[in-house]
Amino acid sequence: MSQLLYTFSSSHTAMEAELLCEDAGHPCRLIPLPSMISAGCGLALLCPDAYGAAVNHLLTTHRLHLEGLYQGGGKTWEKVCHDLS
Amino acid sequence: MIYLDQSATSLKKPAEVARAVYQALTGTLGNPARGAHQAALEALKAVGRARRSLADFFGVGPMDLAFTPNATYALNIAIKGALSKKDRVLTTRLEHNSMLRPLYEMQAQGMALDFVPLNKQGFYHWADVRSALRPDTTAIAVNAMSNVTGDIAPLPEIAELCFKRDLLLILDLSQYAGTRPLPVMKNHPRALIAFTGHKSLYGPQGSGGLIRRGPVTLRPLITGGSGVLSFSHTHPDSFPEVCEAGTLNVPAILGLEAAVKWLTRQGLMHVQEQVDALRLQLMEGIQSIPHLKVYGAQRDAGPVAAFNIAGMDSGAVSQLLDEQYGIMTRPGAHCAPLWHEAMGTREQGAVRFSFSCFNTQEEIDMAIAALRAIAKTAD
Repeated sequence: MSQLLYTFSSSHTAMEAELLCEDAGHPCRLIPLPSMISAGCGLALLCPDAYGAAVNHLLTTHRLHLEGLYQGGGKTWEKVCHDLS
Repeated sequence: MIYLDQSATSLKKPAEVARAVYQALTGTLGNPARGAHQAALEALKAVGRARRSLADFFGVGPMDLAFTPNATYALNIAIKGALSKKDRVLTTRLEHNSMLRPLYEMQAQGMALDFVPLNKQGFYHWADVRSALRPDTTAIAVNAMSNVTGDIAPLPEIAELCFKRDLLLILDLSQYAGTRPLPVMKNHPRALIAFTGHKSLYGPQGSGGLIRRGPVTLRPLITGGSGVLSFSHTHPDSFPEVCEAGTLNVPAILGLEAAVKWLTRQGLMHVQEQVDALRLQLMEGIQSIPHLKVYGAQRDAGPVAAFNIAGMDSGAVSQLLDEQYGIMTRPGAHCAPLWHEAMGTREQGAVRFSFSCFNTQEEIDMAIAALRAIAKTAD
């Protein structure tokens, strides 16, 4: 099943993203960043594909800076975009 | 023992604060932002929640609040990180050394520094700030509440001036935070706001923070581990990481979170009324004592009162209060050298009483009686 992976420039931003998702009832969680993805922060927010629009909206509304958005699963991730705005 | 040195640090903390610190030390919290295992993530989440609680308390967004060990660190980060030799800063003669010394350091590097003068009461009016402003002033740095007298700065007017002229506001909330809400401001200027956790917020020592409002770029003061960008030679300049090099003091941060939640449950206004009543009780009780000179300009100032008895050394008065009456106060200069120079008390210093909501009316009555007895010796 395809999933979305949000990466951030800082761990605190990543955690704020997870807390926002938790508040909204979205089943997203922080995971160690897959090594094939180059990003500053060692954490990434993993979300089911179906919640993509809702999560994008949350991150945009709260102006959390995103480093990248990936789609895929397991060891295969494809970059979808850099910026949600 | 009667502890009336709450402005140095509040002695008694709510039980919830102690519980939160204990749980942080004995629970399952790892190092936040260092790793992705369960204990590290649990710590990161706990800090994230604490950041939100503090941000809610101050009315800002969570990513605009950084944790620091205290207000001194926060002011150093703000002054040395946001200002340069190109700046011209206006400050006041009421400031604490935590503001003054970093400003002097920047002045030695070429930054221009101007002062708002103090009047006979040791305070200044809003008009004095406006008059002291130069065409090339780029920032105003002020203490929101005097740590000597409790006098409160004209914050809405200063904020509006900063907003209109696009000046950076550097605000020291060391004594103010927890004593009353921040005043409603018509417009919020770009600002860096420092607070400490261990005074009127009733949190543990080692807790504090820096709040960023609007677009302000900071150079890091302390560099090192950030948990991100490990291969970069420079520390990240993103907020809050720019202020948070090294491992955070998680027990103190969680204790501070418990403290602001406790304050919010009590009601900040309720706590303020309680503490203000103690100060008023003291002021009314000592006004008829001969030889006693009270400092300060405002009747409704914060929970601090400063005075002297005739020409007695403030240290001697404080020592008598401690040794003969078991009343703990603070004598001397209170790290506010320019205020003492303006008031002519450089040698004598001043005796400072400061209050928390854990003080009682009975304690204030005993303090008044002790002062009356000591003043008699000055006859």
